[in-house]
Amino acid sequence: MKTTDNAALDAWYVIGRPEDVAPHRTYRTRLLGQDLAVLTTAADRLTVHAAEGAGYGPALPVAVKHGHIWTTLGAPDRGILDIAESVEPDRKLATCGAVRVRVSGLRLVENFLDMAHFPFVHTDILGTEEHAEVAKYDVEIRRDVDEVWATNCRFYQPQAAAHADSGQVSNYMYRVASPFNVVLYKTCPAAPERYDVIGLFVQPVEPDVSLGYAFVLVVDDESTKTALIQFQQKIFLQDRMILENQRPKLLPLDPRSEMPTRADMSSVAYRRWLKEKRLAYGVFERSAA
Amino acid sequence: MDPPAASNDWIPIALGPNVPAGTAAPVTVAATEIALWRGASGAVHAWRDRCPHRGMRLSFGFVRGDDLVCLYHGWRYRSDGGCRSIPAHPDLEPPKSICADVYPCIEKGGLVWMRLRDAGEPEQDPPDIDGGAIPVRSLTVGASLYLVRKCLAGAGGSPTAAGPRGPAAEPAEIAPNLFALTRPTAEPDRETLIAAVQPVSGTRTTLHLLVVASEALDRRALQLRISRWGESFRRACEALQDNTGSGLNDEDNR
Repeated sequence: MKTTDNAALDAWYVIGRPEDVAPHRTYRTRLLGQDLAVLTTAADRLTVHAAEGAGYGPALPVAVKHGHIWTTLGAPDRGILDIAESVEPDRKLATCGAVRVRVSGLRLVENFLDMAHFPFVHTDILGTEEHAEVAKYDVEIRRDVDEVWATNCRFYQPQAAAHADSGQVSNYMYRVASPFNVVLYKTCPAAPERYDVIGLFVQPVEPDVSLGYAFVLVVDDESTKTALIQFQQKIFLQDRMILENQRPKLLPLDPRSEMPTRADMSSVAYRRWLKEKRLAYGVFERSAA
Repeated sequence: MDPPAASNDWIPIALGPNVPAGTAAPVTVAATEIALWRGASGAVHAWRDRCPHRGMRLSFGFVRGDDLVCLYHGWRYRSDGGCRSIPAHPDLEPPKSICADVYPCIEKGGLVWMRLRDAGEPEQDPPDIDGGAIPVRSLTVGASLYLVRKCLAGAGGSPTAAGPRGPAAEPAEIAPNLFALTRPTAEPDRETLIAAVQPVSGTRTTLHLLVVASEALDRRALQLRISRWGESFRRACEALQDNTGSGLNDEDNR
């Protein structure tokens, strides 16, 4: 059943990629408890409808951006996030498609923001135990754009990206553009003055079931799209094993339930920001089915 | 969920040999997720299966010496539950408020026992088993604790009437959650099947089976026979459970 949480409804969400919708077939999915049908019309245009019994409701707002299909069940007060790097002609966009994770989508976003797990979950790729320390970084809730940003993040990485052949200290910035959409900007090994963009768009299916869409927008002449996708999927599947085994499955916002340290400052800001929005969907204390 | 015999009774949760030193594994006890682990020195521990940092199940962690390390961020816990180190902050002394939730846990008589609540005052130790029991196996029955206990006590009729072999065994609950089925054999010795009962959920119960027998009996053949008895006991219990209308498709399979 569709949620009644307006804070969740009034936002744009990814529900698939254009290539996931086969021509003349109905692509079915679920967003915030609402069953949806995605159709291609005779003119090869996509339409998205709420599935109602055996039929469909009227067309919902739909857009294709950053290689994904977006829709909304409510009235968002802003558009789909912009990523400035997406217009640069030498960028490769590689999208991984949906990976199902049995946990609140908010835990997916929080895991994406976290560096302290790199040595243990992505061992010898994104981190190593000998370099486990997380240096102090900066976090702010940017009120002008209503986004959470973490900047000045640094971490030593044995293999920072698909095309990295040696270790480096990566510089990161994290940007939470909306409760279920997050990107990071990191030092590009091929062009150190530019940033690679890696993102995760989360489709909340149920409060404790999510689809994660990982993607990269990188400066890389050497790697094939397949290699980029395989690298990101490997990372994501390592995270999934953790995500599906966090308890509770919904994200607690009460600061006393889970104990943060200084390395967790971005997650502390993210949780506070969610609390300000009075978001209930996927949140432990407020049950919004 | 049926409560155990009393909320602070010792509950058997594993056969000792099934918890090797240096390992951690998940166990569900009365619908509570527990991380069961054994340190290098041999001490066994039952903790709430949840790291206080970001809720990751500690049963996925790895054992280093007598410490348990959480798989997510490598937070390292001493055997008393206190946090020894946080890799993201190597120079930080973890505050005492960061600790795992430790349940009373003792190994006795070849079984690992835990209590879900600490009564506060010193309680009796879990029961010992006279004569030294040979561990056989654990098996999980798709039936409620109530039904399993009833079948073990013989009131249900079918599973224990025949006993492990031949004439009826005399069942007795010798301690909370511990049943003994003693069967006179042809020899002057006796054979006693020990069934330790662990509630898992409202429709699942684990039996930990051991046997006390004369030295003269072939140990391997004995274990095989007890194991087969356990399997037929399980089938009989599950048939009764199905007849009461509660199937296995429930919250367990979510």
